[in-house]
Order: sequence, then structure tokens, then C-alpha cells
Amino acid sequence: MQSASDSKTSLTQVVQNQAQGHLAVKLGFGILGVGAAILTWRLAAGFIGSSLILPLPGEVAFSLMRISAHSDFWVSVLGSLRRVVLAFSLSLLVGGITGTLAAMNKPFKSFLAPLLTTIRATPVLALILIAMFWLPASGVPIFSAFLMAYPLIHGSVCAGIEAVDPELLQMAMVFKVPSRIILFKLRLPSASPFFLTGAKSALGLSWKVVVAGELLSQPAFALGTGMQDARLSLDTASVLAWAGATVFLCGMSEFALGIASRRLEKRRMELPA
Amino acid sequence: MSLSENPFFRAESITKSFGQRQVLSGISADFPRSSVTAILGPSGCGKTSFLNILAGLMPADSGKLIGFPQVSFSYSFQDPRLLPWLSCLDNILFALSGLTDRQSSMERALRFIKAAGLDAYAAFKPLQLSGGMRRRLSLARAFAYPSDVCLLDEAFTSVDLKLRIELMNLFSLLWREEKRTTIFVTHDVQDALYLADRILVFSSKPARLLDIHTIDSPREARRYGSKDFSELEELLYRQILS
Repeated sequence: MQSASDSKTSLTQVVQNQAQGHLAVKLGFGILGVGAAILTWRLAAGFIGSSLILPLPGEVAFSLMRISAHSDFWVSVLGSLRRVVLAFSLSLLVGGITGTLAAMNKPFKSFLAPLLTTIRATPVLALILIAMFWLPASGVPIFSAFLMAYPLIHGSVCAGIEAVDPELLQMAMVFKVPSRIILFKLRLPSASPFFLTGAKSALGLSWKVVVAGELLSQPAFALGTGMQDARLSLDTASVLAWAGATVFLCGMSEFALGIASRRLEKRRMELPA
Repeated sequence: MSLSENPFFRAESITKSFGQRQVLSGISADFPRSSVTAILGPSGCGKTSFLNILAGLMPADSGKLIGFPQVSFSYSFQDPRLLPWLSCLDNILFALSGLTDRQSSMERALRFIKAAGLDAYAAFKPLQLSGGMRRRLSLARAFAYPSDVCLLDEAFTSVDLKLRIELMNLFSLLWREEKRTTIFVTHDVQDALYLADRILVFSSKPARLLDIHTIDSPREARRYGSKDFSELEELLYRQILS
């Protein structure tokens, strides 16, 4: 006769198998999508027949191997990564502080609103060009990415704090919990899912703006600078190789942040302290 | 007579409407100190609104509260209202964080979490607990907070009979620790007969106070669902169904 623990184990196995099956299907369709995109690219490149306009996928892969064989490529990756981390951290810090203050203080929220609307409406390229007048080459991408990512963090923190469950606030009010404790133990933790979603978008945006800023300001050791140098040499395959490296790094950092935030959230809500 | 000497808290002619819909119609009642009062009435009659008015969470349209505005409250809500990211112990400490003496807050939190039988789960988060355990934690939090008046809103409903009796026994145990003035809302006659010293019967909406019954029998001697109060039970059913 099958015991209760045996049936529980087999049920767990069924659930695990189903989850693995879903993952395999998801992965399979993902690979199929990439394959279809490469095939379309291959067909389009064959049809155009000019490496200057659209090189073949193989040429881009070869260029990527060639440039990644040089230490300069890796130094450039590290340089861009450093700028992204700096811009992203700065936007987390400033956006976290002003987002919290704006959620707690309506006049401050109104005070910041025109500035944030202006920043959001300003085209990235205009911002980069203006920053080039003010800052050294290496500072331009950091400043521009910060200004683009900051409103996202500010908005998500502010919205998260404002969306706190009113019933929990009412409970805290009955027990006369001090405002400082309400902020740190109720409002900010409530905002964390909003904050993580905003942070993920801000990270992706930071990569895009940092590389765009590097492309125009040309700092030493940067993915954008590599891309621009390749463009000036009319080496389209290398431009695409540098762009591919950027997309890969951006995707990987977003993926890593997604995993970290999911684990953090799970741990925060479920595991014993 | 000073507030601390006054043997009663009092609500006088409390009325409340939401838009055109009146929910409370001139309710007046006394609540003796250190007593357990049940507010019994049909679901949705305005019992929770009355409790919220007593706690100062909602203003009354008219009427007067005597004694209530000057005292502190603890509240066990219909939904346990726990912070899912804090452990059981930290949930209680959160409610006690307004108290100045941290050492005594910790001692109280540990004492009441133990009384609720949750000491082994002190480090667990609410999502790791069963529904019944969360209710127990909510009760423990309400009693751990050193309030003058303890309010319980349907704290024993939506659970099976065994758990309901467990929760009510836990209530009796916690209440004996400090014999606090307690007002609890229920739509269940048996719950009221098992725990209350006094039962206020509310009519259906707009709620009026239909009757006040006093139960003299000591709480410890009562058995849940016994026929000791069959006449009163029958009268209460008639009143809330009328």
C-alpha cells in the first residue's frame, strides 16, 4: 500500500516534471525564435549582397571573435560596465530618496513634478549633447544615463509607497506605531516590488544611454567608442559585433537582477528570519 | 469623577450614514471596565462601523463617546493584517514599537507569543503559517499591546469549529492575563454566549440597539454549545432574526 509520504513525494515529482516540461517548451520556442531571426537575417544579407549594408551572421560572429581576442575589448567592457553601475547606483540612491520624500510629502512631489516631466520629455541625444559641454568625456554617459534612469526609480518608489495597503496603515495607526517605524517597516517594504520593477527597467535604460553617450563623447575604453571607431572604418560587421556585445551584456545584467530580485522577494516573504 | 475612576466607557446616540444609506441609528451603550462585551447582530448590520467609531478610526455623524477618546486601543481585525515580510515576533514588536521601554516590549512580545502557542514559530513569516495560526498571532498582538480597550472584529469566524473553540479558549487565556475591557463583534450566538459578560444585540441595517443581556455565569465554567443558556440563546436567535 502506498503511504501518505510516498504519494506526497510522487505528487512533488509530478509537479517538478511539469515545471521542467514547461521550461523545456519555453526554452525550445526561444531557440526557435533566435533561429528564425538569424535565418531571416541570413536571407536578407544574401538578398542585399553587400557586407557594408548588412553583413552575413557568420561575418559578424567572426568579427566578434576577432575583437574579443584583444584585451582592449575586455577593458572596454569593464569601462562601460563601470559607467552603467555608477549611473544606475546614483539613480537608485537619488531616486530612492526623492521618491520616498515625494510619497510622504505632497508639496515636494508637486515641486519636483515639472523637473521630472522635463527630464522625461528631453530626447536622450539632446541630453548627451548638452552634457558634452559640461562634463569630461567619461562623465557624459554616466550623467546622461543617470538623468534617464532617475525618473524611473523615483516614480516606482513613489508609486510603491503610495500603494501601501490602507488596512495595514490603519492597523499601524491603532497601535500608535511611530511614523519612522511605519516608513522603514511598512511603507518601504511594501514598495519593494514596484522598486524592483522600476530598477529592472532603469538598468536596461542605463546600458542603452551609457553606450549612446560613449558613442558621442568617445571616452577611452568604452563599448560605444569601439562601435564608433568601427563605424568610421566602415566596418559594419564590427559595428554589429560591438552592438551584439552590448545587447548581450544588457540582457545578462537584467537577467541577473531579475533572478536576484526574485530570490530576495521569496526569501523576504517566506523564509524564517 | 476622573476618567480612571469612571467604571464605564459610554457611547451615546451614535449615528452613522454612508451617503444616503444609514448604518447606525442612535446607538447608546455602556461598557463596564474589565468586562467582555459582545456586539451581536446579523452580518453587514454595521457592527464593524460601530467598532471603528469607538476606536476613532471613523467619525460618527452625531453622538458622543465618553471615555473612549482618552484611552488606547488594540484591535484584532477581521483579516489578521500581518506584515508578510516580518516574522511572527517582529509583527508583535511592530505593534509595540511605540512603547518607550524596548526591554519590556520584547518581554511582552515573547510572553504573549508563548501564550498563543506560537513560540516555536517566532521566526516564521506569516505566509508560512496556517490561517488559524495567523488568527492566533493577530490575537496575541492585540493582547500584547498594553491598551485600555481591546477590540475584536469577528476574530473567531471563517474557521472550522475546532479552531474556533481553540481561538476562543486562547482569548480567555490571554484575557485572564490582564482582564482588559474587551468589545468583540460577532454574528454567532454561541460565540457570544461562550465569551461575553454582556451581549448587545443590534438589529439589521440601520442598526439599532435591540437589547442588552448580562451573563453572570463565570467564563471558565461555560462549555461551548451547551444548553445552559438555552432560553437566552432562543431569545437571541429570535432577536437577530426579527
